Formats: sequence, structure tokens, C-alpha cells
Amino acid sequence: MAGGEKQKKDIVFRLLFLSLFGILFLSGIGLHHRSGKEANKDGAELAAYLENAEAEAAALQQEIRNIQEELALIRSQEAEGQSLLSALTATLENLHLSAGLRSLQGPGIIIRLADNSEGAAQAQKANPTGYNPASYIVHDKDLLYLIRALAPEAEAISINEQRVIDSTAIRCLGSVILVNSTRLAPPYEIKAIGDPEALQAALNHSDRYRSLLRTYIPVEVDPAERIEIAAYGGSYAVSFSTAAKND
Amino acid sequence: MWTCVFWLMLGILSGAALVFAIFPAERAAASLQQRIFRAGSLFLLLLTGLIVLNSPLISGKATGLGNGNPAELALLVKNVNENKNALREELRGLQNELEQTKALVKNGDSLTDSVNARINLLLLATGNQSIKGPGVCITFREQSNLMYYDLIDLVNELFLSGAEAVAINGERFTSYTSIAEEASSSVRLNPETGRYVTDTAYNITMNGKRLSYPLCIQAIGDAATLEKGLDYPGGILQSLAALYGVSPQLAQSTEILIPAAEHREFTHSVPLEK
Repeated sequence: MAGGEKQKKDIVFRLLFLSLFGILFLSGIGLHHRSGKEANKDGAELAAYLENAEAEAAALQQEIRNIQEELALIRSQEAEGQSLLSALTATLENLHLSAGLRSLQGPGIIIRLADNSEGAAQAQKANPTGYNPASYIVHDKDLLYLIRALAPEAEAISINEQRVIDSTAIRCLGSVILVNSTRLAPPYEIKAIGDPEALQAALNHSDRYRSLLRTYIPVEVDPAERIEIAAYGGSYAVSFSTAAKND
Repeated sequence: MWTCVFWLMLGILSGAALVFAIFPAERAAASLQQRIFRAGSLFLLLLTGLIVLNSPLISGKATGLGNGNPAELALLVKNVNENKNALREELRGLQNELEQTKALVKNGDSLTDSVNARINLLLLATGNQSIKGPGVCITFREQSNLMYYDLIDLVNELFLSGAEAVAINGERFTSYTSIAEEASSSVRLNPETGRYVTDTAYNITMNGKRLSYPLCIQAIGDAATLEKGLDYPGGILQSLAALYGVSPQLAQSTEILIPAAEHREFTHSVPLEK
């Protein structure tokens, strides 16, 4: 009987133990489940935030890469542009030189022509009827023909600081001479840069120079080691010309 | 905290169940209940083991995002936030740099454009390029008493009338162009006197080359103005007609082509330093 009671007690004890174990186990599972859920809830929020943040960071990185690529492209283009610009500037400088838009210096000759007012007065006094005033003043044609004679030997020519360019026209208007539409007054100083001897030879070859020497107009020619010739100060307006194909 | 207590108790009980299972209360032949109990204990033990092994503390799944350790996640968030801030800073800097660079490039472009425009203008104006445009063409059909300085006058008149470019027999006139004359002599027998006589003719030259006839002077500019500049009472064409009896043909044209001039290198001149 005692053995039976002991067995009963044992069974009750074991049942109690199992129950306690079971309760603990089940509650443990619940707790585990719940705490897991809570942890999951916190974790999921953080994880979602983290994922968002990482996506944002990735987007930022992509944007940075894009900008860096764009900058690199612009810089390489800029470098090309810079070399293009310096090449263009060199071309422009050469054009400025050939267009007479740069002041030049070099050896050459200076020709001085002046009206002979004194001679004219004396001639008028001596022979009022036979006196020809035109023989005592410098004419536009004198300048025009002298310049054309000097042209093939001269690298630059100016008349009283007016640079002679391709389209320079010389004319008289009453008693004044216009060069590049600018009124000039005597004495006239023609400066030409080039080989002084060649320039003098060209001058000697000129009919107009030779005839001037026979007139009453004082003509003075001096070679010079260094002459300064001013740049063309006018405009280059092109209204009718367009580029034609170079062929 | 509670989780820790729970796992501690579960651990103790699992240990006890293990003891019961291995060392049952009676060593006698196991009864049915004892066997059921042992099987149950073992089953529970296994389950417990499985649960414990699956617990987040042990399984190490905390690094995963879904059920990760909040502390670690927070650390990661802090890290990514710092990274984001640094990236934003970098981006701002780059955006500024891009804007500045674009502004510089834009300036460079406008400078290049202005240089190009100037080059194109001067190429047209200085004889460095073939050009075309409206204008006039003056043609002397045959040799006459026309002198070289008449030709110089004619060119001068054209420029006075606004010519942008002039060419003589297809060669562009420049500030270096020489217009002169060349004498040519020929000896012939005079049949009347029976003596040899020398005839001297003067030919107009341009840049040292004799100009052939028909002599054609072309000018680009406003055709009507150019024509008026030459052909008016007392104008050069009337003077030529009066002097030599020559009447060149003067025609307006919508397209006159003037070739580029030969480039001239400077050998004596240098730009004046300012």
C-alpha cells in the first residue's frame, strides 16, 4: 500500500513536474514568440529605415558619379576649347598684322613733301599772269602714285600716321587731302618699312617721283634704321562680301 | 531581462528532464507510464534544444535586418546617416564646381565666338580668302592709250565709292600691289622710207606681269554706288573717254568672285611693343 502511495506520489510529482515544464515551455514559446515579434517590429522599422537610408546613399553616390562624369567631360572639352582658342587667337593675331591693325617698327624710308607757299608767293609776284598755283602744292595723285610705287617693296606704309591698307583711298577735297576719309594737312610724311635701298630704288623708278623732283615742291627722302608706323585706326566693315569656296 | 530569466529556467528544467530521463525514479522494469514519461521528457528536451538553438541570441540571426538586433541596426543606421551626410556634402561641393565650370566654359565659348567672328570678318576684308558679292565689272576690250596711272586712279575711285575688294584680271588688289608699266620695243621696216624704225609700246603691269586684254576690273560693293562713283559728269570714265577716246564697258553684277591674295610675310617689320 505504501509502495502504491509512493508510486502515486511519484506519478503526481512527475505530473506536476511535467505540467510546470509544459506551462513554462508553452509560456516560453509565447514569450519567445512575443519578444521575437517585438524585436521584429523594432528591427523591421529600423531595417526599413536603414534600407531607405542605404537607397538614398546609393542614389547620392550615383548622382556624385554622374556629376563627376559631367565635370570630366566638360573639362576635357574645355581643354580642347582652350587649345582651340589659343590657336584661334594666334590666327587672329596674324590677321591683325596683315590687316594693318598692329603698329609696326622696322627699317625703311621717310619721304617728306611740303607745299611751297613761299615759292608760290614769289612766283605770283614775279609773273602774275603765268603763275600756276597748282605747281606749288602737293596733290592727292602725288601721294597716290608714290605709294603705289613703294607698295611692292614696303611691308607697311603710312601717310601722316594714316596707315595705308588694301582699300585705302586718297582724294582731294578742295585744298585738303583725305586719306582713309581722314583730312590731312601738309607737310606730308610718307613712311615705309622695308629694305631702305629697295624702297629708294622703287621710288627712283617712279615717274611721279622723278617729276616731283623737277617741280617747285620740296621733296626730302631719308632712309632710317628704325621707323614706327601706326596701326590702322579705321573700321573693317564688310557688308557685301561673303566667303567663296577656296578651290 | 525576462527573456534571460526564461531561458535560464528552461535550461534548468531541461537539465532536470534529462536527469529524469536518464535516471528514472525506479530502476525496476519501466512501467508504461515511465516509458511514456521518458519519451515525453526526451521529446520536450529535443524541442527545448531546438527552441534554444533557434533563439535569436544563439542563432546569430541578429545581423539580418528583419529580426536583427536593434542595437546593431541602430549602429548601422547611424553609420549610413553619417555616410549620407558626407555624400550630400560631397554632392553640394560638386554641384557648385559644376556650375562654376559651366559658367567658365560659357565665357570661354562666348570668347571663342567673338574671336571666330573677328577672324571671319578679317579673312573677308584682308584678301586672305576668296570672296564673292554684288558689284561692277569694268572691261577695256582692247589696248588703248590707257596708262598705268589711269588704272591706279580707277582702283582708287572704286575704293572711294565703297568697294570692299577690287581685282584686276582676276588678281586681287592689295596694299602691296604694284601697278606700273613696261616698255616693249619692236623694230620694223618703214616701206615708205625704206628705213628701220623702232616702235615703243607701254604695257600696264600688275605685280610685274603684263596685263592682257580684255582688261577687266572687278569690284565688290553696292553696284549702283560703284557705278555712280565712276560714271558721272567729270568722273573718271568721262575723263578717259575725253583723253583717249576709250569707253570701257561698265556692267553691274549680282555675283562677282574675287580670289584670295597671295600672303605676304614680314621680313623687316616687327610689331611695336607697347
